[in-house]
Amino acid sequence: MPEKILRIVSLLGVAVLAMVPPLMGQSPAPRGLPVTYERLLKATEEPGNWLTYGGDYRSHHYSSLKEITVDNVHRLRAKWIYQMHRPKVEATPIVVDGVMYLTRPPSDVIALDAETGRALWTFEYRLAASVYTCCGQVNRGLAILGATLFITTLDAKLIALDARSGRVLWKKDLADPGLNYTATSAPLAIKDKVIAGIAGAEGGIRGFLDAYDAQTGERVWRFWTIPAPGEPGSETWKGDSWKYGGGSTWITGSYDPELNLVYWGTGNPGPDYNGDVRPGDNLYTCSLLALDVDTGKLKWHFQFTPHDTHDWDATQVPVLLDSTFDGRPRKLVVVPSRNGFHYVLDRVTGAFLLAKQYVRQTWAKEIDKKGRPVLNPNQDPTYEGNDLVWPGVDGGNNWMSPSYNPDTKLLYFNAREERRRYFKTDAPEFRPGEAYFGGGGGGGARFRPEESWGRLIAMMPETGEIKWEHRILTPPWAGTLSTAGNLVFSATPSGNFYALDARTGKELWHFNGGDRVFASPITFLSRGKQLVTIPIGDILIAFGLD
Amino acid sequence: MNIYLMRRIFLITYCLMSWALAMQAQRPAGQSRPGLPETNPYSTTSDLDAGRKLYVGRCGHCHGKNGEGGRGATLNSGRFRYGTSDREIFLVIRNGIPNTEMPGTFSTPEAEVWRIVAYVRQLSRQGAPEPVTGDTAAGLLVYQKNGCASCHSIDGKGAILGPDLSDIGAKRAALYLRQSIMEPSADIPLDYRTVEVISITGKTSSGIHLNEDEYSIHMRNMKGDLLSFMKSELKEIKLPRDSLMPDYASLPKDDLENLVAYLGSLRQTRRAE
Repeated sequence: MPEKILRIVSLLGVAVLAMVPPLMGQSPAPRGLPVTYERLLKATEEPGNWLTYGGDYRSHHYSSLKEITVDNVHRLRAKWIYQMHRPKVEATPIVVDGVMYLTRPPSDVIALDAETGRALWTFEYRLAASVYTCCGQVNRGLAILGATLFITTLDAKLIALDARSGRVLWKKDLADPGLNYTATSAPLAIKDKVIAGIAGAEGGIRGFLDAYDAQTGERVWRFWTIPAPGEPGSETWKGDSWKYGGGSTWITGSYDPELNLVYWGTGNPGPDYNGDVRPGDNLYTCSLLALDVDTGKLKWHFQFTPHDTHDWDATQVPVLLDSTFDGRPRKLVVVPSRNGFHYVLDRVTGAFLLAKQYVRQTWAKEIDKKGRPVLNPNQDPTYEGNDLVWPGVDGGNNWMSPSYNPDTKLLYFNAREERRRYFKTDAPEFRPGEAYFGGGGGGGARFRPEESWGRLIAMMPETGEIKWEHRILTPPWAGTLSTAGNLVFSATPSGNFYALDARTGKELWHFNGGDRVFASPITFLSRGKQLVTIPIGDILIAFGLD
Repeated sequence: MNIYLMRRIFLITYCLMSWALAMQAQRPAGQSRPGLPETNPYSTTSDLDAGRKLYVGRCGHCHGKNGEGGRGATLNSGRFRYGTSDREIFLVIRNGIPNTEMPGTFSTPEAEVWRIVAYVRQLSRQGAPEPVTGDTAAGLLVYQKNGCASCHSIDGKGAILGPDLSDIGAKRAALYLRQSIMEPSADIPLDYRTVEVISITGKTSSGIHLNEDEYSIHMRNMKGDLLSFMKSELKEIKLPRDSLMPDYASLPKDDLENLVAYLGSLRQTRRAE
C-alpha cells in the first residue's frame, strides 16, 4: 500500500476514534438503575439517594446523612445552580446514585448530574390542550420504579419515561383537561403500580385517585372521592352537586406495606366558598383516605373539615409513625391540617385520637371526641366579605412536606398565621375552562404585619405539644428537611434558605436566594459528599461544605 | 427597478415593520384580546343583580359599596381613566392595573367579569353623590401655604417622602382625600408604612419601610437617604400605626374643601397606548 494511502487511512481512523468519546457521552451508561420495589421499601437504607417524593413510604422527609452537622453547617456554600426559567417551581427531585431527576413547570423532566448540575437529558412536554388552573402551572415531582420515571402533566396525563434517556414509554389520559381536570402532584410507585392523583376542584371536577400498571399503563383501579348517587357517602350531597364536588387528590400520599394501605388526602368541595348548593358533609372532601393498594377499596376515611367553605383542602402529606399513644404502641398517622388543627389518627382503623390547635383559628370552638369540629358562628364567607376569619384561605399549613426526625422524635413543619377576608358569590354554573369558586379569599383586605406571619414548628407529633418554634416574617410556602446531623432546613418567602438546630431551634446558617420559595429541601450524596438542594424562585441550588 | 429604488423600498418596509413591532410591544399585556366583544353580552336585569353581588365582595372593599371610592378609584363619577367602553372596563377588571394596588381577576369566569362590568356601568350612571364644593385655584394656594410639597410631589416637583400626587384625582375619591388630610393614619398605602429602629448602641432611625426579611430591614429616612440595617445589630424594631404625615384636622373648612378640590383635579392624561 502506498505511503500516501496509509497516511489517509490512519488519519481517517484517528478521526473515527476521536468521535467515539462524544458519542458515548451522549448516551451515558445508566447509573443506579433499576430502582426496584424492594429498594423503595428500604429507601431509608440508601441515605445517599432520595427515592420517593416524601423520602420514604412513611413520608418522613428525613435523612440519616450526617456529614453536614450543627457544628459545620456554617461552612455550607453554593456548589451549583440549575436555571429553569419557569415561574413557581414546586418540585421535589428524585436522586438515584448521582443522577437527579427534576421536574419544571409546566410538565418537563430533566436528568441532572448531581455533582455538577449539568443536564444529561431534558424531556420538554408540550401541553396537548389549554388547561384551566387555579394556582399556576406547577408540578411537584416524579416517581421512579425500575428504570422508569412517572410524571403527571398539567393536561391530566400520566407519562412513563425511560430514566436513561427521557424517552416516552407510554402516555395515558387521567381525565379530560377540557373539563378542568389537571394534574400537578408526584405519583407514588408501589409494587407494580403507580398511584396518581388529580387536581381541578377549583374548576368543578369530580375527584378521584387512580392506580396504573407500571409496565403497561393500564388503569388497575379508580377511587372516586365524590360518591355517585346510591354509593356510601352520597347522602352528604344534594341533587347534582356531586358531579362538580371537587375532592381532588393533588398531593402525594404515604404507604404502609404491612397494612397494604395507601394514605391520601383530598381537597376542598366545589364550589369552594358557596356551600349553599351542597348542603351536607360533602364526603370525601377535606378527608384522609386509607385505600387498599391492590384494589383501591376504601378501608376507612376521616374528614377533617365537613362542609368546608374556606378552601381548606386536606392535601397535606400524611406522616406515618409507629409510636405510643396513651401508653400503648400504636400505628399512627399524623396530619397538621390546613384547617389549623394537628390531628393524630390510628392508621389501622382510622380512629380519631387527638386534635390540637397549632395556629390561631376562629372557626371552631373545639374538635369533639369523635373528631368533628364544633363550629363558631359568623365564620362563613358572606357577600359583603367576612374579614374576621383565621386561618387564611391558604390554611395553617398546606402542601409543603413536613419532616419527622426519629432522633429528636419531633415533627417539623411550617405554620401559616394569617387572617383573611372571605367573600362569596352566587354559586357558579360549571363551564369548561372556567373557575368554580363561588367567592374568594382575598378581596382587597389589607392586614397588619401581626396578622400575617409564619413559624417553623417543632412538635411532639403524638401530643401536639410544641417544643420550640422559629418565627418567620411572612407565611411560608416551604417544606422542611431534618437530618441526623441534628439539623432542620427550610426557607422563607423572602428567599432565605436556612438551617436550625433540630433540638433547640437555634439558627445556624442562612443564604439569601433572592426569590420566593415554594418547595421542600432534600439531601443526598454526590461522589460521597453530602449536598442539600432547594428550588428558590426559578433555580435549583445545591449546597455542600466548602 | 434600479438599486437605489429597491434600497429605499426596503428601508421604508423595514421602518414600517419596526414601528408596527414597537407598537405591539408597547401594548399592555392582555390588552390584545381578539374575539372579546366591544359591548357587554351580560347586561340583563339578572346579570346586573349578579354583578352587584360579585362587586360588593370582590370590589366594594376598595371602591366603596356604591362606587363612592376609597382606597380604590371612584366608580360612580362616570369617568374611567383607562377607557370607557365595556371592553376596556372588562380588560381593566380582568388584568388589573400595573404599579397600583388594583389586582387582576384572572381566575374569575368571563361571564362574572362581564356582570361586574354591567354593575360598574350602572354605578357610573348614578353620578357622584358628593359634589366637590371647593375652589381648585384656592386649593393650590392651600397646598403651597401648608408646605405639602416638602413631602409630596406633583409632576416631578416636590419631595419624595410622601406619595406622588400627580394623578391623585383619578385614583382617589374626595371622601378619601378629605379623610387622608384630616386623619392620615386611617389608611396608609402599603409603600408608605413607617418604621423606626433602635440600634444596640441606642441610635434611633425612622422612615418609610422599603423592604424587610428575617435578617435585615431597609428604609428611606426623612432626608431621603436609603438606609439598611442588620436585625442582629438592632435592639428594637417598631412598625408604628401612624403615618409620617401630620394630621390637618385643624385646617379651616374652606381651606380643606379647596385643597380637596385641587387634589381631585390632579389627573394625568392617559398615555395613548
